[in-house]
Order: sequence, then C-alpha cells, then structure tokens
Amino acid sequence: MIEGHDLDYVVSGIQTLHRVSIRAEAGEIVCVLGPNGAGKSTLFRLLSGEIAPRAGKVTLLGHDVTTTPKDTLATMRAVMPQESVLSFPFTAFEVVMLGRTPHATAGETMADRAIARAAMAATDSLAYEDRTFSSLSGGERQRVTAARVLAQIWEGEEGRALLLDEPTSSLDLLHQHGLLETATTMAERGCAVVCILHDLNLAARYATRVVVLQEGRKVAEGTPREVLTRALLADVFEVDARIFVPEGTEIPVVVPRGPLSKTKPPRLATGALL
Amino acid sequence: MTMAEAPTSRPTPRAVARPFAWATSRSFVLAAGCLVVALSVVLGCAVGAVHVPPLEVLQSMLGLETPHREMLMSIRFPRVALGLLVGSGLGLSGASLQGVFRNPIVDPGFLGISTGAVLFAVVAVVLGGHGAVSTMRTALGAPLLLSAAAFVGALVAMLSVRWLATVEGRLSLTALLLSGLAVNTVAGALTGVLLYAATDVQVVTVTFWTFGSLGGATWGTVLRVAPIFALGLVTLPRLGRSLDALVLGDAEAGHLGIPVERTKLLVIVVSALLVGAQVAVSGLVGFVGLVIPHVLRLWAGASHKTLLPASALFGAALVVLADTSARIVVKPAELPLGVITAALGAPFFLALLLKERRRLV
Repeated sequence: MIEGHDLDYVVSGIQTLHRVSIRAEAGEIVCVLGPNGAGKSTLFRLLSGEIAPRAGKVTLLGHDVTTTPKDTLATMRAVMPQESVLSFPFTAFEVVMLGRTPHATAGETMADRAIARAAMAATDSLAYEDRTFSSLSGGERQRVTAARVLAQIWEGEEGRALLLDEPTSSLDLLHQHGLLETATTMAERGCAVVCILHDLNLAARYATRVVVLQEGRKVAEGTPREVLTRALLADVFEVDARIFVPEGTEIPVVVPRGPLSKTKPPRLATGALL
Repeated sequence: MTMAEAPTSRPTPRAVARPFAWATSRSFVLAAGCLVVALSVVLGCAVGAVHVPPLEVLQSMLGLETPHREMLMSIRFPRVALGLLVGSGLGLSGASLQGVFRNPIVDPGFLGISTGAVLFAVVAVVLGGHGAVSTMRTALGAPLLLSAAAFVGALVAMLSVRWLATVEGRLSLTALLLSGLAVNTVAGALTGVLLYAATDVQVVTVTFWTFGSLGGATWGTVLRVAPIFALGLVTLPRLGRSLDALVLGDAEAGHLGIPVERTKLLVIVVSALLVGAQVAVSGLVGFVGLVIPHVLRLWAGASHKTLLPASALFGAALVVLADTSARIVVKPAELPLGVITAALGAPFFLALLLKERRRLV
C-alpha cells in the first residue's frame, strides 16, 4: 500500500539513510523504532513526500509520491507531526476542520463538520473544541492534532495511509492507549499505518510489524515477538533489558534495567552535590 | 467499537452554545463591514471645510443636480474613492502578509516594505523626471510609472527582509523585526541622500510621501490605479483556505494538498503591487495593515476566509474616516493622513508588542 523502496538520503554530504525499504499494507500498523539519530524522522519525511530521496522511491497505492499531485495525495494520506505551534488564535475545532481542507474545496459542508466532531470524539478532545489551540496543554494539543489528521482521511475504504511521528509523546497513559486503539480501528477499516514510537511496550502491544533502524540502516524487521530480543536491545539501544512474554499472549513485555556498563555515566560521589 | 465512540471518551456534552455566536459569523462580520464602509463614504463626502448635508451627498451620487455637486464630483468623491482603494489594499496586504509570514506583528511599514517603495518612487521622481513627474500634481498624474517604481521597491524590500530573517529555513521573529528596522533605515537614508539631488519642488513631493495624504486625488489617479487594487481584491481573498492551512506550517500545509510555494509567491507579489500603488498615490500610511486584522481576529476569529475580505472592508472604512478627521481637526488646514493613522495605530502596536514580547526573546 505505502511502500518505500531502497531509500537513500544525503544531507550536507552525510548519508543519513542507506537503502532502507519499508512497506505497510492496508490493515497493518508498522512501527519504526530506533535510537535518536537513527534516521526515523528522515524516513518519515520521505514517506510523506515532504522530501525526495536521493535514490529509491516511495509509492502510495502504486503512485510515486514525488510526482503525484499534492491535492490528490492529501485525500489519501495524512501526516501527524511531532508538534504544532500556531501563531494565530484558531480554536481546537477550527484546527481539526483544517484537516478537511483537501475535501472542502468548495467550502465546508455539514458532513465535514460532523466528521471533524467525530474525529475529536475519537481522540477525546471534544470537551475543549471552542478553546484556542495555543491555550491548550501539550497533551491536549497533541490530541487535537491527532483529530485533525484523522479527519483528513476519515472516510473512504482501502487506499488510505496514516503516518504518525511519535503521536503519544505528550499523552498520559490512558490517551496513549486510546490513540493507538484509534489507529488500530483505522487500520481495521483499510488504512495502512506507519508510526514512529519510542515506547517499545506500546509498539509491542499495537504493531503488526516493527522495523528497527540504526545509523541509517534497517537492522531488523518482523513481529514484535521476533524482533524485540535481549540481544537487539543491547546492540541497537545499548540497554540491558529483560523480555517477558506473558503466558497465553504473543506480546513481549520489555523491562529495561539500565544502560549497558560501557556507556554508564560516571558516578558522582555521594554528597558531592550537597 | 465505533470510531465515534472513542475508546477513552467520557460523555462529552456539546460545549454550551455561545450566546452571541451569530455576531462572529462570517456573513454578519462582512455585512457589518459593508455597512461601515457605506457610512464612512457618506461621512467622508459630507464633512470638510464646507459641510454638505448627507442627503445631498446621496442625491449627488445618484446624479441629481445639487448646490455642491461640482465640488463633490471633482474633489470629495475621488478623494473618498482613493481612500477606499488605499485602505482596502492596506488591510488586505497586511492580513495576507501576516498569514504568509505566520506572524501577527507583520506590517508593510515595520518591515520596510513601504519605505522601500518610497525610495524607489523618489528615485523615479529625482532621476527620471526633471520634466514629467517633477511636481506633486504631475507626479500624481503619472501614478502608473510611480506605482511601477514603488512596486519594485516594495518587492526588493520584502524579499530582502525575508532573506535576512530566515534562519535555517525558519523565519525568526527577532530577526524579522531587526531586518525590517535595517531595511527601513537604509531606505530612509538613501531617500535622504537623494533629496540633495532634488529640486525644491521635488522635495515638497517627497515630503508628501513621507507623511501620507490623499490630498490632490483626482478621478484620473483613481481610475489609473483602480485596476491594481482590483487585482488584489480579486486574488487575495480567494487564498483564505490556503493561508489557513499555512498557519500549521509549510510541511503540514503541503500534506493538506496546498501549493505552498505558489501561494507564498502570489501573496508576496500581489502585496508588493498593492503597497506600491498605495505608496505612489498616498505615501506612507502606517498601521492600518496591523491594527485592522488584529481587531478582526479578536472579533471574528483567526480564519483567513473571513479575515481577508473583512480586512479589506474595514481597512477601507478606517482610511476614509481617518482622512475625514485629517480634514477637520485643524480646519481649514489639513493634517497629513499618515499622522492620523500613526496616532491611532502606535498605541495599538505598543499593546500588541507587550502581549507578544515573551515570544520575542
């Protein structure tokens, strides 16, 4: 459905991605994992069509995203950024209505407003629809942004893609799960979902597949059960972790115990700071 | 699980209906704007050194013979018409530039766009015209030449400011205001240097530009620059949807299917045309492009779909009313229009600055 094929990317002479391929079918949630600077965000911007790869290509339902008209693309795939800052006093509801921009070319309709409201209900943000976006807390803003993105590709069957860049970074526990449940529902309705996450347990719980990046290369891909191993966490994330798989489930639980000793920060003598 | 019922949602009652929601609706705001424009036109034609009863103004507009018809037709009507054009251009270019620069503190005056336009207009007068455009009257008789020069000046100033203020692909507010200050200073200094090369008559013309005035408006001036303002009034208000999406950021607007670069280029070029034509016929008239969109955002919300047409309407009304008071405050003499708008706008700018200063750091 959405597919990046052998993607290379170079910025100021440094190659930040090396022949990375990623693919999400309708109904799948593919989580991209990796330490800071592994190339997750670059891969994400390539998939969204914001930047063009130096080699390789990104396709959405078989259409090359760099050559497909932007307005066509906008009705098929929505992109949730890490954070949004607004310099004008738009209300939360107006922000969500912006998600309907690609559909409301001849002015907004009752249907658009109903979809915006339903998307806000799905992210539990209806309670503050009339408040100014910039007056909301970080988590509330993130829920409104999620609603905007959902509203953009709310209706339609197969052939939609949802790209989420750390969508849960400011959310409380309840809303982290709420958001990924909603992503699951979107997937069940024919969306292909690609999601960058830092929380390995959330990825393990909701991803149909995970892709692990390290220094611009894909180093692992598979189900969370296959990929999230003690060895991988040591190699890629440089943490010492235990993995448990509760009986009767296929969902691994990652319990990090701390950094591997080689990267341990120097210990301060007790009392040195007092 | 249905999508409408969020996995985590508590029952969320529809927010209490706002009591005066109708008063902030697009149609109400635009209707109010039209009404204010109509009132300002009647007032602007009625008031002045000679008082004309409003009823007589209306009769003259309908083409009936009235005692003051001659004066109204040759002096007041063209002056008010020019005020409407200038004001709508200022309101509209202010609101759309703020959208493109993603900043409510942008104004053609602060960014040096108007001063750049004045500089180029002065160059045209001093270098180009010991003949044709050497006096104020004849200068206003050649508004298209001046508009063209002022347009180039506005565009050069705007692109310089944008280039100077872009740090790593993002516009920095501090850098934006500092570059505006720099461009303003440079353009002002160069204008001063040119004054040495100017004749006395030319100096009077330049003084007219630095203070701003609608005096000397004729039907000839109005008709020649009207197409430029018409172009602005037709193109910019259509960009409401795109400018709304642009508020989210360039990348986000792109993801929503908006042609980002084309929209920005269109706004910049058309705004430069508007500022150029406005400066050529009325000189520096500050703050209108800052105050009007700001008040309208407080009243009708931030959406450019309402903001752009409303800024044109209320900007037009404000300039006509300001020009009317310029004519009566020190009657029978006249205050410069730019002085009136600055007196109204400067306190506003201070208030806005106090509100925004946390973001300036």
